[in-house]
Amino acid sequence: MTPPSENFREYFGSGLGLADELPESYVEACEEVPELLADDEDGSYRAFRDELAQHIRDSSYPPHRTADSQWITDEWLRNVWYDAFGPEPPPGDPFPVPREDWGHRRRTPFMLYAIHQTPERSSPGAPAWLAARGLTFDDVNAGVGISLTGQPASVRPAPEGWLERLHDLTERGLRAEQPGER
Amino acid sequence: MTQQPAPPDRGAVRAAIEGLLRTCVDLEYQADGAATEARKRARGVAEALAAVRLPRGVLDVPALAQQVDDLGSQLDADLRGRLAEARRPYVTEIHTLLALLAPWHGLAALPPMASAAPVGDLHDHFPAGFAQNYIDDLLAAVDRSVTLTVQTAAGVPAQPHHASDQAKIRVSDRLSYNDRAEGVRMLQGSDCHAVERHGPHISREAQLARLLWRKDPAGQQRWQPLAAGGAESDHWCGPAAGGFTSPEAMAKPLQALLRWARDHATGLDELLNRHTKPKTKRVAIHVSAESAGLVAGDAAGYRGTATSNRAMTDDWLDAREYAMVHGAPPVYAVPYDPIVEGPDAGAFLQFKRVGPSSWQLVTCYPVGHRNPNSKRLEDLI
Repeated sequence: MTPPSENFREYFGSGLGLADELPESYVEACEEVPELLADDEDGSYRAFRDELAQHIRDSSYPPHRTADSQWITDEWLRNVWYDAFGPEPPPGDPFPVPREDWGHRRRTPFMLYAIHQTPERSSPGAPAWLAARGLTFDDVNAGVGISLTGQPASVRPAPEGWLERLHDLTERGLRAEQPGER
Repeated sequence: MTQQPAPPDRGAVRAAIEGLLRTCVDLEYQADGAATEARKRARGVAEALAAVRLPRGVLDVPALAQQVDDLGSQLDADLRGRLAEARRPYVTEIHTLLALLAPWHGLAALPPMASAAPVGDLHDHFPAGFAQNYIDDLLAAVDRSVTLTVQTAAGVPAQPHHASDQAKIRVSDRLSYNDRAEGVRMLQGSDCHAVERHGPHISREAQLARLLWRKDPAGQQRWQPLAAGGAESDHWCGPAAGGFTSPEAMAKPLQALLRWARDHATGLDELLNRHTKPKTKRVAIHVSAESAGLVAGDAAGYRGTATSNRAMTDDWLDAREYAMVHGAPPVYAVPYDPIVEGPDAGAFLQFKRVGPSSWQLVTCYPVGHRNPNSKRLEDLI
């Protein structure tokens, strides 16, 4: 699946792809997901979700800037997937994040922007979002909340054989080669 | 039970790297200044001596003048040698810290320090690739980058409500007569913060306080300095902050869009309806600098130092969060004009659906890069 479809870019570009630029839109977009999935007569939102999973599986979402690596881009998309669609890894993810890391060892943009010390100071959708992921305010605040010091972050360097994997996916026509991969 | 040592905080590591590197650069400048001064003085003495005419038997003046001149050069070399000695531990420490940061960049390990002559470019001491690129990025901005203490940020005045209202009228006044009412409506929408965050009435310092300490320039969102240093804020800002420098400049992208909507549809709502799915709740549009007529000087802002890729940007954002909690070390920003510096500059506009077929502007700000998922104005036909 390459390059991103018009349908994908429309959904992604209006919220879930904007965590850095417009955190408010990102949080809203995460909180709208259940409604969009439930009310999806034309199937376009499911198609968007499936395409996100495919981009993660095939490393086929092009990095926004030439200085961004594909691995860092894919890790970013895994965070977006979790924030939008929950703790089940995207189907076919070759490098799924261990479920117990989320909220404890791995921070996502939603945790940073929408979850604060108390429910009152957090985004209105935060309690439902946490419940759907089996997390509590205390979990997130203890793991990745206001005190960032000493946070045992989950850091994942690119796995061994990563470049060979990219070459193979490129040769199979599943993705476009990016600068610096040779 | 043994306690695991606390792992390093990504933001603290990132801030320490920049702090140490800035110290190295300061040392270099001081040594340069002292060396130049020492050489100048020695040369002055040598020249004065050369003018003295005495028989060689009494005093060999030319030889003495030469000696003094040599001494000046020797002082210069000594100072540079001492500089190299003084900065060596800093350079080693920077390399160690970069190795700690490397996993966040997807790298398993950092190659050892390069064997470079102690006197010479800082850059040459670091292994090629990630470390050298990071150092280059930081060094490129070291002379232009600025910071702000939380106390100074606290003193930066927020723009009162009526100042934003006035700015909205001023911007709309620059639109063509047909578009003025629509322009005011767009900027005054309850969810719109285009003028509140990017309006021409916002001072440079307020943009810097927004970027470095997440202080809302409109004062609407809570911001509170902490007794122990740092600040608490409900306002968010990405790795850059900025806006338009005049009402004319801010009106340019709005005018381009409104004109386009009149020429290609019955108006903005119809244009956006036609180019979105009925259930899309928001839409992002890129109006290129060319289409808007935005030129150098129309926009101004700040971006975090060394934020040229996603992982580096996350490093900087974490360093800012660390400063928000602890008050230090400071993070730095580089002043820039997005319209001039960006490869695909223009304005980013976002609209939100507020009814089955009507839209409200959320924001409008200058960008150097087009977000690849934003719709280009020219494609809305």
